[in-house]
Amino acid sequence: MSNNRFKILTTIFVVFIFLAILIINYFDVLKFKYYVPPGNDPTLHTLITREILEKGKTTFSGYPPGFHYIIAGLSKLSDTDPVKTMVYFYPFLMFLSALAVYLLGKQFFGKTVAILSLILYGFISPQPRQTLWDGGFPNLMGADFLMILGFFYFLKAYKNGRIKDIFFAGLFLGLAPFFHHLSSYLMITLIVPISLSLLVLSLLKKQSLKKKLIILGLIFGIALFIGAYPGYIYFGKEYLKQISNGFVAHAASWQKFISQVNKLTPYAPPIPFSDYFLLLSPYLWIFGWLSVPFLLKGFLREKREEYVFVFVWLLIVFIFSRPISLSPMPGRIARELSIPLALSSGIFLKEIFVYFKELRFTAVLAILIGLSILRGLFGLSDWVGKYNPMVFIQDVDMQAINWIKNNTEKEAKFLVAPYNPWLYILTQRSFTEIRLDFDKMKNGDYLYINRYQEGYMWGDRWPYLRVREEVQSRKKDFQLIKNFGSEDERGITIYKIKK
Amino acid sequence: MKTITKEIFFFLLSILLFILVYGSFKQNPGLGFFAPHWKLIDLLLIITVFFGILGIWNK
Repeated sequence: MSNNRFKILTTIFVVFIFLAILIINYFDVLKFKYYVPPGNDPTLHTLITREILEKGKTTFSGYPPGFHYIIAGLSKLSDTDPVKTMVYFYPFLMFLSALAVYLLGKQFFGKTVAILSLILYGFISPQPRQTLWDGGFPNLMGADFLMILGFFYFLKAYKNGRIKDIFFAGLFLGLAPFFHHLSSYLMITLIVPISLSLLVLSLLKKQSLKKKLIILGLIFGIALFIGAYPGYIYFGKEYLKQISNGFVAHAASWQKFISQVNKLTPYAPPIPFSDYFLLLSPYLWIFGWLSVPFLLKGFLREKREEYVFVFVWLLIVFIFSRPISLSPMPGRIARELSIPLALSSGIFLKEIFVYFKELRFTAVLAILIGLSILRGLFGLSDWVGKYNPMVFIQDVDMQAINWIKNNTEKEAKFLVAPYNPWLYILTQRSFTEIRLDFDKMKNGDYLYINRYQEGYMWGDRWPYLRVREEVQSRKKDFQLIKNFGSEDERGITIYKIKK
Repeated sequence: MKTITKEIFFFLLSILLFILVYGSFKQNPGLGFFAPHWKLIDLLLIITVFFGILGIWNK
């Protein structure tokens, strides 16, 4: 086959992979006709986006608003409600992330490694698709797209010193903090040791350290200028304070800084060692770590920057996924191993066939590796409907919501038990979540008993049963208005609260 | 020496990959198989990586 023809075929194959990634990630949204995106977090994303659309800016200082500005912009352009915009935009994040991984792989390790990494990352790795399950859209945008693009230009700039690459490295690294707080933390904890390792390698290669320091200085300068200055101008001091709290406010006291970071650990405790298989898939976990001999050869013997880059990336994220000082939420950090593992898996799969050239070796390895990748790909069918339990508004909820909108006055005060974050957003009525605080049951006009959803990640059935028991025991205080769906905990019941 | 290290690396790698294939066929995506045996698999992984380093370094 001629070289040109091979190139065309490879390009068609890559386009096919990206199309497949798009189809797979949009499949559920289109098949099950989602009313809202999966998870709890999108309710907050919707509120921030609506505020941006109404006031032109946001007053929420607790969440970086980059993602919300994008959704607001897209909503304005398409004249669509932010909830709908988010429903149709979130699967696209997986495409963006896969694109960044492919570009990074292709630039530094060649097309073969890039394609292998893309297949593992796009079809076999449960992350970052799992991140989307609870609405971690800004997380994906920050750590799995902007940071990766930032790394792509960072390494390019470090190697060639071109102004264009320096600018884009600064731009993308500077943008990441506008999208996600934990991603910015991760980016900084990675870029510092990676920069130091690259400098050591440059020293060993007898390159001009002065030139490399200037490149790094320019990248970080642009990142700060692009990240911090517009942040101050457009989003205000409060937002910048929020970011700086993580990095600067406690830096005066190192102990305080460490304790501040460690306070976050209980929110996402470290996973047991056995769960890395579950979180990252056994394929990525095994292939990825098997690349270590080749990574070590790449930077210790051949002195290639890209190998030290991936090795330090893999090592630091793994260390931060364990319960150590300075690791804010090790359980959350663990899932960020997927990209370095996908890249290093690609490196392993290519290099192993370069190392073992003899037919008796390659035949055995090709069969075993081929079978395992094939089996990994079969796991794709498990993803159909996987997000459904985390989509809290389905047909029956929509019926209840429409009934509320058509049959209750705008000023009506609703109590929701135990919990549903979408009701206020979708009805524009006053909703107070009372969970299991039954003393609050008197403080409203209506009581909305939400339904239990099988497979819901953050809860079990008993609070839903408990609420119904409580209402049954205080029958005289409530008047049954309407039931939606089944009459047990799997349905929705609305009561009028007797005054 | 070079050949022996390479052969050991290949042998361990084949066992590890066989476990990966076996585990994934036993219970897709293999998690029901891998999680209970993680100590053994990770130990094998570490030993394989070690022989991989030796083999590649001696090349």
